[in-house]
Amino acid sequence: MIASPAIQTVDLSKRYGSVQALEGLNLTVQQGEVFGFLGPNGAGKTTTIRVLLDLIRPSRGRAAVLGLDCRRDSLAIRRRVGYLPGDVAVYRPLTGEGLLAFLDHLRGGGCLGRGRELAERLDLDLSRQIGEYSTGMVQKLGLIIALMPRPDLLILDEPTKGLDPLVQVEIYNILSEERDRGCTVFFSSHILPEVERVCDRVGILRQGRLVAVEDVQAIRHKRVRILTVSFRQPVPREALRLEGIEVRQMDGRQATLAVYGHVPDLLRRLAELPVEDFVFPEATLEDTFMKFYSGETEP
Amino acid sequence: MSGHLLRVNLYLHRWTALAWIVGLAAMAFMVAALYRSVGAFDYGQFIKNLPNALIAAMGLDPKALPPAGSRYPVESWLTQEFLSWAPLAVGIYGVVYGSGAIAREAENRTLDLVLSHPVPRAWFVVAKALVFLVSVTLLVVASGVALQAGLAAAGTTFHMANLYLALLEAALAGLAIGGYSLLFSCLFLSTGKAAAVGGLLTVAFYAIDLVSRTVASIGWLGNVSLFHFYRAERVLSTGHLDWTGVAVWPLVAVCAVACAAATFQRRDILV
Repeated sequence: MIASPAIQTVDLSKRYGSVQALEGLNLTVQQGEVFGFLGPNGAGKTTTIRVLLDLIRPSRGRAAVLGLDCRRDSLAIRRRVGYLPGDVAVYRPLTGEGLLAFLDHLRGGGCLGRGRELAERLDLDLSRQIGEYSTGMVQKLGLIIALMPRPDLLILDEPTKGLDPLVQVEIYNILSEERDRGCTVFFSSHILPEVERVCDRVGILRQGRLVAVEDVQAIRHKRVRILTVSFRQPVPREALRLEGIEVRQMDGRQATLAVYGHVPDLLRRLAELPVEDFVFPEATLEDTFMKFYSGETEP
Repeated sequence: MSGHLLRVNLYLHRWTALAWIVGLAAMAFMVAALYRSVGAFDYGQFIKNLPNALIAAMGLDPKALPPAGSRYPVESWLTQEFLSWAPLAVGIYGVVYGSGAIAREAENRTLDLVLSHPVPRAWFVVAKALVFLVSVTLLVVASGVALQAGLAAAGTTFHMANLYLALLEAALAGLAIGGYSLLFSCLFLSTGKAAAVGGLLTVAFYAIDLVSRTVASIGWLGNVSLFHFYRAERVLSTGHLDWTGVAVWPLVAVCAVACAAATFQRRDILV
């Protein structure tokens, strides 16, 4: 028997007054995959997530989660889904332990032990009142709430926001374990290295429309990074002519290059040249994903 | 409905409820204890000299006031100083609580936390309504005990069953107000808007009742007010409840909560 998709939307649209937040979204996320959901602010990512959780109702189209209808089977879906919102909001007068116990009861009990285990792993003191927690601690608590019931589908909206690098690594490890367990992860993020590290496929949303769905491997080859190099002495433009390299600007001793895909050939070439300094920042979402797609696929 | 949903909401509301309970009970005690000062004084004559409209506004029946020289009745004193405005006080509590019950959770985004779990939305609304019911019950009991203690301090005894019946009427009127405020909370998902509409409606009901009592020609208008059925002095004197009120107030409260649940079930939860 073929497993139904973890998430499937058909012609999903949502309009708020005069604002079209989502327009004809057709998206399929298979069970067991980690799917990155990307797009600039206001693209419709949160709207999609809220439709999936039945927090808002679509104006047109339909959505199914784990083979269940988002509206009709909302309760059954929420039993099997763990959700981390973009801005985690919790009851501050409660202790961490008190909140987890409360939410565990709402699910029928049995997963508090897992919550405690995750808290220990993420070094979160559950005995303290949540009002005393820092932003990062609240984010950890939000992650524990989402992961605690061992859900079939995890919906995470910027899961590592506000977390220090060590904890981020631990979160990636936990997500990897969840995937190995068979859990589907629907992952919204603005951090490209995070998306590359965690996701199998990504969908890019712009102005309420899905403009592309790609394998992460394929995107790596389409990546554009901007390299600025300073030389001790002038270098001819031809010295930088390589496959996958575009010389955008050449000013005697300084060059600005657009680098597509892998960089080993370029590094080898630069080693032969009188390089004084270079700046090679991490590719941002705007530099790669959005810029790439804005030119090719108009919504 | 999940008992934990109710328990956690009670816990989260505990300090606000305690403030209202202690505040109103302290007021009740002071009013009752002060009766020692006015009981022997010919206070009735002073009241009788006031315009009838003002006497009616105090919740008193001008014709039922005692003759000159007699002791001022404790039921009149308790009515004018406490019980006449008790339903309004419970009503204000109802507006404050009800308007924020759901809307504040939406504004604080804690609504997402609960509703992303397998909880029917109606449960959440009912839990919020039950929290108010429990708080108002405690409010009535505490006020009754405080009145009893105050009267004991004033060296007076009173038929406490009648007192609790009057408080019950005030509580039922307050529950109706809390109910429609909860409905506005679900309708607007904005504490400010819900409080403004709920507050205006409550003030309008109170004003209509007051005017209809003082202007005989528009006395019929009082029937549209929730406060119309509330006559504390009569309950204190006779021990007879106004059965129309006893039927109308819970009916309004239950219908409002049902409409709130239905509205909340259908609406989008926006961020």
